[in-house]
Amino acid sequence: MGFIVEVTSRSGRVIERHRINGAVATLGRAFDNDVIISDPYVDAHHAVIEATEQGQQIRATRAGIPVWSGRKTIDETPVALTSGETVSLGRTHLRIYSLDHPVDSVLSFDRIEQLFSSMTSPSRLVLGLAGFVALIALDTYLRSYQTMEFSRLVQELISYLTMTLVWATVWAVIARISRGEPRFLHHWLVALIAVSLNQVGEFLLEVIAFNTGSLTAVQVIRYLIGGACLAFALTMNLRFALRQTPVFRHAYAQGFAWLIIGYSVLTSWSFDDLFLLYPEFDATVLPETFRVAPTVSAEDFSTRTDSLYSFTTEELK
Amino acid sequence: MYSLGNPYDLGQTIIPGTYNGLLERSFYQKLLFSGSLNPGMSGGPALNEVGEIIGVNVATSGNQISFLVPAKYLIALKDQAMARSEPLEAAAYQSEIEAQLYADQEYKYALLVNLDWPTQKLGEMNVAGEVSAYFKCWGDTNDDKELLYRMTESSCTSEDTIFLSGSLQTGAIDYQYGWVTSDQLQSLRFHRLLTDSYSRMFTRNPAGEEDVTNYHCSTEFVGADAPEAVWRVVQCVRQYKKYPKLFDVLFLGVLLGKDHRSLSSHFAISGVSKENAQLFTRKYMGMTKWAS
Repeated sequence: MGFIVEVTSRSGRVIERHRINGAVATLGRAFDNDVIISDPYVDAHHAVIEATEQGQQIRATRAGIPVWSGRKTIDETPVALTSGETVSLGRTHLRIYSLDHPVDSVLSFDRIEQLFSSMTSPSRLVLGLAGFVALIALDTYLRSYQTMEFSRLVQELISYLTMTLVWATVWAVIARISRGEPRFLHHWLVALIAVSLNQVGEFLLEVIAFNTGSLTAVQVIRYLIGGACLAFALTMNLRFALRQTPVFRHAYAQGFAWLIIGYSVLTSWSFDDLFLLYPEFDATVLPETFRVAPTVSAEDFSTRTDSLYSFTTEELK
Repeated sequence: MYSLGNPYDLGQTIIPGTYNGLLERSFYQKLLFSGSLNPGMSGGPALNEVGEIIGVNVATSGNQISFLVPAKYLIALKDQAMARSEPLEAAAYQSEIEAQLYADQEYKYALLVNLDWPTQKLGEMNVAGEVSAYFKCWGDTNDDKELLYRMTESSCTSEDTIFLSGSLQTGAIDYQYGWVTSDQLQSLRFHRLLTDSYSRMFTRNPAGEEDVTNYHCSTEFVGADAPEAVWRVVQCVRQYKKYPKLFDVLFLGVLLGKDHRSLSSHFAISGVSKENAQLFTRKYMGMTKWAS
């Protein structure tokens, strides 16, 4: 006699797994239950599962606090369950197995949850924040050729930190409403990582701009980097804030991020035909060590620039 | 001498002034008239005290600095008009203007490209000096002690432009060099300074959409006449819509590979044919050499 009770996410991911050795297990929020469920929509003594010769059966402890099996409700009359069947109490999903049902020997290990939990420990978060401040300070320093003013650095840091804190707060509020768990530090860490990746991406972009001089290539890659950083942030924020299947999470995050990027691309393309008083070129200059593009001779330069003098009839209108 | 005209449409006016001879630094002959020409007087005659026409009103710089086209060009124009059996059709004016502009730049660039350009030392580079008397050159060095770099600039500009309309003024030739050094800036910061100073040059022609196309630009790394150094060069070209044989050309080069020292080199020429622009570019690039 005995059975397994799993607490799962809506998408079916196992959150907890309980082994019941007796014939009966009580479920609810109260401490005297065999399976204690932390869900404000679950009653103190909500349901009972019993193992019989024919398998497991479940019933509610009283009227008015139903157990859901798909779209059907189960009241105080016991209903037989097949091994592996899912039922819901309040907003908690349970899966019941007989002991001999083939299941994973251990709970699956969620590396991302684990990683973010360890990185949001106070000491590591302070270290990460110091790294972020160092990155912004270095970026501000390298982008200036004037005497570095401390007030300018502080201003830059305040603007970045305000931006990430506002982003994290919005997601924490969404998470608090949706899951009852704000996880503010998780959301802030996501924002800090996304901004840092974008900063590093901007530098890579400068190397590409320096070597190619192509405004179009730089613009396309800038959009790709921006889109990737936004998609990363949205995916992680959705993961920590809302209960969703990975497919929906990725669809929402990628869809929204690339929709914004697509809109920006279309907006910039719509200005492509405008007349400009000044030439548009990329003026990025980096130390020679960053050059990977080949050099040409002065004679070859003249040949290569020959095509600059060819204008279409459309351009001459 | 006296200049006659209709300034600001106020009616026929006589302006007294002094004849100061031919301008020395002008590609096109112009008389310096110390008198107050004003808008509306262009095309009017300037007479000497015995009533002979000596010039035609053409431009003013204010403060009694005014310019006249010598009368010999008026006589030549009259002879040319008289030699025609029929007056020029209105539709042919544009191609006539283009032919004249083309011939003018052919003459001017043939003269310039075949000259031996004098060089001057700027930092550790030899660069083009005052190519001819038609250019006005000047230099400048930043002396601000708070700046973390030192920049010495040399700029030359041709005095003449051809006025075609309020927005289309062509024929200018400008070139500029900037020698930059810094002992205090880290390499990436030094190159940030170059990035900002690199993009400040443009042609003097304020042409609008009805006059010219957008620019076509190309970026290349060109081998430099200096050990371990290379030029990053941007060249931009736009074509004249009404005079398609003519172009505005912008050249921007910056020298890389020399620690904390660099030269930026710019030129902007307007109303030039493709062939002359390419000849000028080759000559200009060949003039910039490492001095030490």
